[in-house]
Amino acid sequence: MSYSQEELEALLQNDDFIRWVQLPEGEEHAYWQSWVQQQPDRQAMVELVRSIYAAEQAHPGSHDLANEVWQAVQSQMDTPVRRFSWRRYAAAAAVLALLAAGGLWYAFSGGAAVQRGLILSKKGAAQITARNNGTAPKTVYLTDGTRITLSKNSSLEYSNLLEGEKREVYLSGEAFFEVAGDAQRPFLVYSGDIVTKVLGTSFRVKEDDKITVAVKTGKVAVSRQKESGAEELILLPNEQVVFNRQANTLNKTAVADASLLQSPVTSATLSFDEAPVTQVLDSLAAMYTVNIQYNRAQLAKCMVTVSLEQESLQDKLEILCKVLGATYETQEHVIYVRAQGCN
Amino acid sequence: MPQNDMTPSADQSAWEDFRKGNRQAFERLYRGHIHGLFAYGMRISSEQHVVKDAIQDLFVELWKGRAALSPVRSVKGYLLKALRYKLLRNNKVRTRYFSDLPELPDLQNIEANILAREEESGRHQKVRRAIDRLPARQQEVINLRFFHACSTEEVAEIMSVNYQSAINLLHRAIVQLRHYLNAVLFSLSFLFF
Repeated sequence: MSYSQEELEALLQNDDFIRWVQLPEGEEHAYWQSWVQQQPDRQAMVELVRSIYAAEQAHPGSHDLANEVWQAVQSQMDTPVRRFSWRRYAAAAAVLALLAAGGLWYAFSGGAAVQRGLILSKKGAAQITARNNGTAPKTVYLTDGTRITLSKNSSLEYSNLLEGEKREVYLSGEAFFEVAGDAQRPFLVYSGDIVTKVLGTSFRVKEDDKITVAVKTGKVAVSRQKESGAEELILLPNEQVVFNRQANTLNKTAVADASLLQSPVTSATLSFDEAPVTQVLDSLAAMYTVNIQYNRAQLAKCMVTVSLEQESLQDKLEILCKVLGATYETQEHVIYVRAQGCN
Repeated sequence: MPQNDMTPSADQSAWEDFRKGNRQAFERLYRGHIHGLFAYGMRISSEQHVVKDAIQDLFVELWKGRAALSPVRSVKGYLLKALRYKLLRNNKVRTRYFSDLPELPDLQNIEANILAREEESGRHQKVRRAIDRLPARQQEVINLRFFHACSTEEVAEIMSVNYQSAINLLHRAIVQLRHYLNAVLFSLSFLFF
């Protein structure tokens, strides 16, 4: 066998070759035939691959098995999901977790991605809804670097913030906000009847029978949504305001429940060690629910080692582009990354 | 691809219909992928009942969890990866899988295989046996690359390894396989000149 390692590796990576071996016909048939004839050991390689294919193909009893398993699947399709069954629960959770973790790859940025109980779905080009159906708090990452940790049974509507002047989110339920500073674009949280306006700070909003806004750092302004120019309460760290829906009153006090100010433990670090840059870009697209377009074939061989923490998406993209010698731009809510590719 | 009755676009439309609750589309997905999934699963676990159970659970969960599913870029890639994930949750399967040791011949299995494969041609049988002897991860990479015709990128994605590791693993598998075949099958003269 006179194959050099490089030659063998190149051949094993050649999709056209694999396709032709499986189906020796079509446009490239003549080309491969003459290629085979150039060296005797090429024929051996073709035969080996063809045997592997044929050997794997013929799975004895596979047809009966297919019917048998289908019967079993069908019999379970209509049974209700049993509650309190740990086995069921764990198994279902496994599939959902897959969608989030390894499945970042396959979760298409055009639709709903599930992240261990956190459901992100997209409406139109830019609107995103996040809902925490899990049992633990889940963190939503906004492209400006803001982190919002949603408590269970809470949901958040927001835009990808790639374009436009306002940063506005709509909360129902409870969340802890760590808003990235941006004096040019105030950050507005709408919850029930009130709106909380911030410039860059951390605070919690909790909406149940009443609405509580508790500030940990920075400064926020709380007002009723309906009346513009109406009473606006300024909150400083360790202050809270409680909106009583029935009495329609806003009461400012010191934060009574210290747990309201506990920062959730979040790990925003995306760490890659010699990973294809395509994987990094896909992870970012899934993390921020944005559409990132690039030439997959060109970038698949670009390996990067990078650790991305609390920067905004723009900063993360700039870091990546520096590493790659690439550029990016945003058009109509789609991020285009242009690069030379690697060998 | 020849082993898959569905083209990628038929796959995509079946996936979309299935997500909306269409049973026929769900069965089309099942029928289109079951043989490929089974062949792949057997490379990871080698125990038929384990693979059957995993596939059964996978499809039941897909159906019940369909409302939460996303569009996928490759239905086949998604199903392969999901099955792999499911199988590797089983401790016994995981231990074998990560041991990276060549397979020991399992007498019971050999007997069953001989019975089941009597009608197979000698060549296929021999190549199959040689593949059976490879460490599980090498079996897996061979299955993905040659049977499922996955690109190297897809292999890396499904196996959760980086691109270069996928290439290295495939290379090792082929070298090892040729070694086995060379040692055992010198009669297969067409393979080796």
